[in-house]
Parts: sequence; C-alpha cells; structure tokens
Amino acid sequence: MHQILIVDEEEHLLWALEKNLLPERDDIRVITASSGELGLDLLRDENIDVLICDIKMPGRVDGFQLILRAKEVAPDARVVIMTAFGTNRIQNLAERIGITHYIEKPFNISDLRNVVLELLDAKEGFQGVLSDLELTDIIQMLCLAKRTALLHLKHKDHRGKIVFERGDVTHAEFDDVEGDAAVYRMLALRQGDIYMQSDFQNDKRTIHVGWQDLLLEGVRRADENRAEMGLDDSSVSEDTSDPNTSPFTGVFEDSGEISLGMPPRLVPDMDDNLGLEESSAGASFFTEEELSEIEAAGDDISGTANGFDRLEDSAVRKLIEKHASNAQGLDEESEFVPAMGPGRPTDSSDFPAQRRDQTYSEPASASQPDPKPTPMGGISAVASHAQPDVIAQEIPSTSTIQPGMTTRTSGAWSKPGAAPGLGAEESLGGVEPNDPRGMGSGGVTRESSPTMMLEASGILSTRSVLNDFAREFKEMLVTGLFSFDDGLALDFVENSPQYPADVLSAFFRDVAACADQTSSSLRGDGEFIELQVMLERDVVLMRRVAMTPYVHIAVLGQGVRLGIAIVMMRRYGDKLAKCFNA
Amino acid sequence: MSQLSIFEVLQQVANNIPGCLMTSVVDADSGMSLASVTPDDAVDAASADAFHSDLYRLVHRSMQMLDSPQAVDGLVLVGEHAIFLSIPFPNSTYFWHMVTDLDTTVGFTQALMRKYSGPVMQSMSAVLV
Repeated sequence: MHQILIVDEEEHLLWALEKNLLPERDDIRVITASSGELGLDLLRDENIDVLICDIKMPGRVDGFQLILRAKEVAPDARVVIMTAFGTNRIQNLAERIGITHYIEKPFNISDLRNVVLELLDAKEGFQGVLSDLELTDIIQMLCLAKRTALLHLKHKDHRGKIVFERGDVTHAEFDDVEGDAAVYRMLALRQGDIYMQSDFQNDKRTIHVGWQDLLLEGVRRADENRAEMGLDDSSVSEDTSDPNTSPFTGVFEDSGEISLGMPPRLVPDMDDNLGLEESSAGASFFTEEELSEIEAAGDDISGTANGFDRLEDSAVRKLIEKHASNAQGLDEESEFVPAMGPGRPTDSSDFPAQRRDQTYSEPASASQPDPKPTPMGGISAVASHAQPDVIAQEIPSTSTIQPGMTTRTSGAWSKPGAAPGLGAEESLGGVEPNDPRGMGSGGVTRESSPTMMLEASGILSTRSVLNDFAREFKEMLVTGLFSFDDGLALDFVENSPQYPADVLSAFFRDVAACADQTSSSLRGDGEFIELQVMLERDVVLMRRVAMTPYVHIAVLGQGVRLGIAIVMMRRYGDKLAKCFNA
Repeated sequence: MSQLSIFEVLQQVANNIPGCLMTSVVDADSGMSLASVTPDDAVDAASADAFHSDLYRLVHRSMQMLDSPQAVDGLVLVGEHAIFLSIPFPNSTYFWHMVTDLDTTVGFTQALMRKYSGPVMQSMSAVLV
C-alpha cells in the first residue's frame, strides 16, 4: 500500500484531492493534513511515500520547513511542491533543497496524478557509475542520508557486512570479526565488491560508537598501519592506474553497481599481493554540490543562514576533505557522467544474481564505452538506488515535465544546514533539527548531524558546548538553544520527558519576547539579556546568545546551586556566541 | 505604632536600595499596579509593571502546557539597562515588583525583598480588605 500525504491549508482542495486524485487505485491511500504541524505528525506516524505540500502555510511549520523536516523523519518520501506563489525564488529554493517536482496552482488533478504515479511507479533512485569513492565516503553518504541498509563487502575470500540503521552504523562483520574491529578491517581494504541491500533483518548491535568516531578511528589506524609499512604519499602517488580494472565493484540492490577504490592515503591491504596499484588521481567522491546535497538530505536543516551554518559547512567540508587529502578534484564532465554507462567494468561483481540490466537515460552514454575509465585506486560505483537528493547529478532526460509543472533535477545547497539562497527575510528560522519525542531518552539530537561532525573534527560546536554545560550540573533536566525569531529548537542536549525541546522552545520563546518588552518598558529601549524563573521545584534559566538570534535555555531540577548555574550559563553563553561567530 | 501604608513601606525599601529605579505591587491578572514608588520619575513604571505581569502569565501558561504546573516563586530579569525582580505574594494574584539599576546586586535586592515582604504583604492586605 502506497501512502500519499497532501498538506495544504485549503481544506476544500484537500477534500477534492483526497476524493479524486487516485480513486481507482486501491493500493494507494491519500491522507491529508491542513497544517504543517499536522503534516509533520503524519510524516512521523505513517509510512509516507509521497509528500505533496503547499509552501505558504500558516503556523509554525510552513511548507519549506515541513519538507526539510521530512528529510529527517521520512527520508524516503518523495516530495512534490504545489504553490500558488510560483516565483522563481520558490522554484530556486525548491531546487536547492533537492525537490525535483514542482507544480503551480491552479493545476489539473490529472497533472498531479501523473506526477504521483510517476513517482510511485518509477524505480526509486538514480542509476549510474560513481567513481573514485572511498569506503569512508560511502559510509558517510549513507549515514548522512540516514539510510537503513545492509552493505555487503567482498574482498577475495573475505566477506564483510556493514549494517546502517537510520544513519547509524549498528553492526559490522568481517570474516569472523564483529563490531568496530570489523569496520576497521574493511576500511583497510583496497579492493573488492560491494552490494547494498535495503530489505534485510538485523537484530544484532555490535557497534555503539558514532559513525564519525568509527571512521576517524579507522582512518587513524589505517594511517598508522601505513606508516608502519613505510609507505609514503610520494611512493604511492607515482603509481598509475589501470583503466580497465576497478579495485572495488559492487551492486546496489535492484539497480546497479558500485565499484570502490581507495585513494592512496589509505592503507594498502596487508595481504594483497596482486600488484593492484593505487591511483594518484584518487578524487574525493564529493563535489561541492554533491556534498551540500548529501548534507541537505541527511541534515537536520538548521534553518537560518547565519554563522552557525557557515561553521558547520566549513567543518563538515574540513572533515571530508581531510578524508580525501590526497585526492584531486573530480571532474564531473570527464569522469562522472561518462561513467554512467554499461561500459563500466562491472562484470567483476561477485553478486551477479543481484545485478540487473541497467537502463540509462542517456543513449549516448549507453552506447559508448567509458571514454575515461576510472583510475585505479579510486572507489567507483554504480549506485542506482540512491535517492536523487542524496546523489545530485544532472540527468536532464530523466526529468519529467508535465503541463503546469516544473520538474528539475536536484540542485545543491550552498550552505548545508541552512536553507540555501535564503535572505535574512526568508530565513526558515532555527528549524528544529531533532525530533525530541522521537528520540527516546538518548537525547534529542541527531547522531549524524553536522554538529556531531564538528565534534569529531575537534572544532568547537554548539553541541559540545551544550554537552559540557549539561555536565556541569547533575540537576540538569534539559538545555539547548532555540530561535528567538520563531521559537524553533535549534540544538538540545539532555532530555526530560517533562520538558520536550520543541514545546519548551515554543512557549519560552513567547516568554523571551515578553521579557524583551519588559526590558524596554522603562525607557523604551533595551532588550532582555537573562531571565531566571524560579519555580516550585525547578529553575528555568534563559540567556540570549550575544549577536545571534538564539536563546540558551536550561531547566535545572531541585537542589541546583543557582548562583553557580547563572555564572556558568554566562560563561557558556560566551562560548556559544563564539561558536556562532566563528 | 500605626501600620505603615503600602506606599510608605515601598518607599522605605526603595530608600534602602541605592540603585532602586522603581518598586510596585502589581496585580498579575490585570497588570495594574496597586501601588508604585519611583525615585526616578523618568521611568515608565506602569509599563514595566504591565509587561512584567504578562511575564508571569506566560510562564504560568508555559508550565501548564508543559504539563508541569509549578507555581512561580520568583522572576529575575536582567535587561540591558535594568534588573527586574519580582516575588508573588502567596494566596493572592499580586506580586511585588522591584527594578534596580545594573550596579545593584541581585542578592542584595532579594535579601531586602525577603526582609520587607512581610510588611509589604500586610500593608497590601490592609488596602485590599
């Protein structure tokens, strides 16, 4: 059963669409919601395949925010934007957040029906060859996109598996080794086959560290091993690539293949004596656009285009660039696009049964052999099951143009974590990156948020500051940041069911606004800096983060030393300000 | 000794706090001041009282919405130009509002407010009865 969610404030339109969109299809259920908030709840609760939503909607969650949140709560849902405000700006924004289908009001129901059927009937994902990938990049891609998948890996007689569950690496096996050690072993490989499976059952959890830590440790070990073997970059970089051999090849379920290859900085396989050479041209998988898009797909979309976003942006890039330090830039024209054809050396896959005939939208590329084969040492891949918003690539002929509708291949965000291209007046606000109600007791923030990558990269982040602040007090119930502009939670640590981050933020934003009015009441100017609310049991402390639109809030339980809490909050407020202004 | 009026009590407190900009007894429901003393005539005491009472209502509403209906024991708001302190009177909708300059320490003001809360409450009751 497919489920389509339509969100629009116009109830008569909802009624009409619910009744007439696909009445003859018993296998398709149309659900409607008249506000972004309701839509978000349904996205969380129902397994939605297609989200159709208006952009301009009243309330705290407008269309763009709903779409951005959908990336988190329903990453597999395809999105169609419908709006009566069909400006270039909105189209541009839609494109930038990876929305490929856009329909202007008024439209014929048949137009929307065609779009929906196309989305439902089409094989999901893009097909094509990705070249020069690192295994670390693949893992990052799957984690950032919050994918649930089983990645099989084969290297000669060795077999490995990595289990991803909503962006977390939860389990890994390599031969007889399990857990972190298995991942490290696999990261040390230079060649092999991979195959990604999305329907699988896994009840095992052997990995309990974040994927960033896992990768960094893997890279560290690889570097150490490499150093022990006496290899240096220069000796490796002199190697040339065999254009007809791809170190890693693999199949993504239902659709294509992935061939992987390591850039020269990674440790060579210890037992690999086949003379496979590394490439000096091991390019990073991510182009600027792809990087932004991947982050957008898995990102929690902290909404404003401010210094925080830029910080995350640069930090994420730093981390990924660090992983591809010896890599050269990937020339999309010469390598990526031509590689999307059957000329790729994919027959070496060890999963022939999983391989399928690939269809390519570009006849030219399908009929021509790869004009510039993947250099050895890079990880090349055919990834056809990947979401288009994860792997952004222009494939014009796959775009669908319907009357009254603009269809675009996905673009990229220039500032991950923010709604790109937004001016200050268009800011999406501090969109809550987390689903505090959906995260259980483990905290309200997402493991794979770019903030976490900042931590991994050792750069000061709001998350680490908030964590440190929380650790100062055993009485800490919840602390975090919310936007003074719209009351949306930005980043929260600790978790108290009594104080869910989104509700706390929304209501105490009003309190903060009133505090602002009070502060300016005496002489007509001045804003609030700090507010202490002493309750029967708990204490709520709020402090404006200087030079930002954010407010730091903390709720502390009974027994807290209030004076120290206030002083510490001031100190940590300075640190938070530094994070934003970095 | 005859009981001091609420204005006299407030004036006495204001005299004991060098940085006192104003002090009032305010009805949290309506935002109206029952009594107010403002050593500095330039300040808009009525406005400060009204907005501060709104703060009480919003905090109260927030706690209700959070399903944590705890009573408010006091507020301290540090603004750019002043510090606003308040304590609610028990079994009443009124609170005592004190505004000081930024140089006056919160602890000192709170100590004096605790000291004088009895007389202020008595004088308030005398007015309300």
